[in-house]
Amino acid sequence: MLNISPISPRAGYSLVEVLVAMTIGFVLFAWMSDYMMRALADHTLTLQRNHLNQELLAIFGVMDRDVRRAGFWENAKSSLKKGPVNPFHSAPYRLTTNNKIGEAANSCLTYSYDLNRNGVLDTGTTGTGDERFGFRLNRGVVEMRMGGSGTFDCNSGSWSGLNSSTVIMDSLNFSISGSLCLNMSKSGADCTASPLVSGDVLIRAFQVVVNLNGHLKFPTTIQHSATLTVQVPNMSVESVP
Amino acid sequence: MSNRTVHNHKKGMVMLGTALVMLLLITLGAIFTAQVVLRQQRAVNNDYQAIRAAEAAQAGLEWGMAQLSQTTFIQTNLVDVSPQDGWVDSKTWQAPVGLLPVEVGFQVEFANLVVNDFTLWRVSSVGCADGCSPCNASCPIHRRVEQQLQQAGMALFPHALRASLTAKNQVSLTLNAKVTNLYTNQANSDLTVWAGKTVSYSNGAGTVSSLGTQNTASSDPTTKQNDTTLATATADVFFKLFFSNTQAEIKKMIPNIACGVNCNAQLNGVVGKALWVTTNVVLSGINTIGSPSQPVIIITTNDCQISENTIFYGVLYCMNLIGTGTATKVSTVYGGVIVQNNVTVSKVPDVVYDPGVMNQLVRQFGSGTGAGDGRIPGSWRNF
Repeated sequence: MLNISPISPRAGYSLVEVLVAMTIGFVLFAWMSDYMMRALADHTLTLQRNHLNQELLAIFGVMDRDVRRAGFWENAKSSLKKGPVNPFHSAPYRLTTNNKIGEAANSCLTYSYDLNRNGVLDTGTTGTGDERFGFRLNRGVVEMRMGGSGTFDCNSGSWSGLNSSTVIMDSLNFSISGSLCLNMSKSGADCTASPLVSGDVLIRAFQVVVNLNGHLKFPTTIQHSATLTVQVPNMSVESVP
Repeated sequence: MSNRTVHNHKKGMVMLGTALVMLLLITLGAIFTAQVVLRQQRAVNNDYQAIRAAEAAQAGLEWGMAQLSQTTFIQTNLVDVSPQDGWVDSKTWQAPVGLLPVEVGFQVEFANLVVNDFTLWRVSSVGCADGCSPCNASCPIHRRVEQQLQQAGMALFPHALRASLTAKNQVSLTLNAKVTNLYTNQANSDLTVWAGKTVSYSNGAGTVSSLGTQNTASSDPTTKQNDTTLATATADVFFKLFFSNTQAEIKKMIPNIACGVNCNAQLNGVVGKALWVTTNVVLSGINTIGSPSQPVIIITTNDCQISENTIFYGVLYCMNLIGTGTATKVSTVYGGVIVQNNVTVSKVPDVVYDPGVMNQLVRQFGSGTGAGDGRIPGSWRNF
């Protein structure tokens, strides 16, 4: 004999009730999932943008601190009263823009300063280090010159990458066109105002404007551009030969 | 017999499980996001603090350079008083209260680059941005910058003289010759006569100060004799007690002139100049040299002979001072006289300390002529 336990009408839901509840549940779940996915995507995007932004800022931090040192010479006081010329402000060691072969123009900056404060421009050949520095763009990587006893240009020497492998730098541009050159023998007139004459004393105050543009390796749509302006405190003083 | 029972408590298990998993995922995601954001915030904050420290250091450098443009700051704080070893003693300054926000600060230090040369300076500044006080190189976040400076103006006479008449060796005054300093109650001009060896007054000669007239050197508080600091000093060390460089360097800095039998023609009417005389300085006529508003500095490593009606405003530096006058003729130096060897004065000249002349000389030839603007190119560094 079939013995069916009596079921209270309050103990369960009807099929319609369950279906309605499930439908509402699925709709809510779908909406919440979508919301969550969007929130996660937004978070991810923010994190990725921050990451890229942070990479650029970190590179600028290194550049700003180092480029300001350009032209420092421990024996600077000896150049007073027509003494010796500051070697760190002499060609080819002075602030110069150029590029590595295959890269865009002005994507490389070279300069020098007296890092070990021995008063001599060390070129890595005497075991006292190399005091020639630079930044360049090389196949999507911003690099800093770390040494190398060979020719001092944007193609030689030992360079080390500054940005992580998750970031690709699209462009790097250095401009020193905002720098000042004053002819002190012509009452401080601009150097281009009149032809230079042998013996003219020129003062150059350097300003470097850096433009950097990069994107994430994935997703590639996340890009960022930044500009840095560096006023170089160490002016150069030179006499026209 | 089958017994079917409907279990109500199992009906929500899938939903509950799903909700818990989602909650877990959301929690993990939130924790991960928070950690990443926190790390980035810390990195950004470190960068920000480092930049503020660097800016504070640069502000300190500018502040320090501005101080070097003030004569009183140099005289009060930097010119080495004791020990006179030629170097500025290490002394640091914190940022004046109210100049910067409370959480940032700087410490500035001054030094001369070359011993006994107070025309070349090094100003070092440490900046801090994390509320560390006092700010110095031991603060967790600090940056350092340094700049070397050369005095833009001619540095010759950095500070006022201490005495009306200063002699490295002996001083002998007679026949009513007077050395006057009415400002001996002030710290920087506390003497009338300052000598490395003996000082003697006779026949009415003596000193006039805020204490009155004194005719005996040994009992005169404003006469300092037998000072071995002067007596044992070399010529250059003695010279640099008053001037900013060696005799050879100062001689190169200022115009050189030569006199004939006397210097009347060369010096009478000269105002506002510093001159190096390569011969004896003989003043035997009616001369007015310098003026209260445009005093002069006359330096010679030969003798000075003053005999007639000479009125001199400024500082006179001689090897020996020989004064001879008559009862009717008067010569007076308003300012100060410095003698590298001996002083022998009979009747004239009187020497009267004049603080107005001293101040004017420091303004004209002192170190407060824009040292803060004389940045030596190539000497700024931040490492």
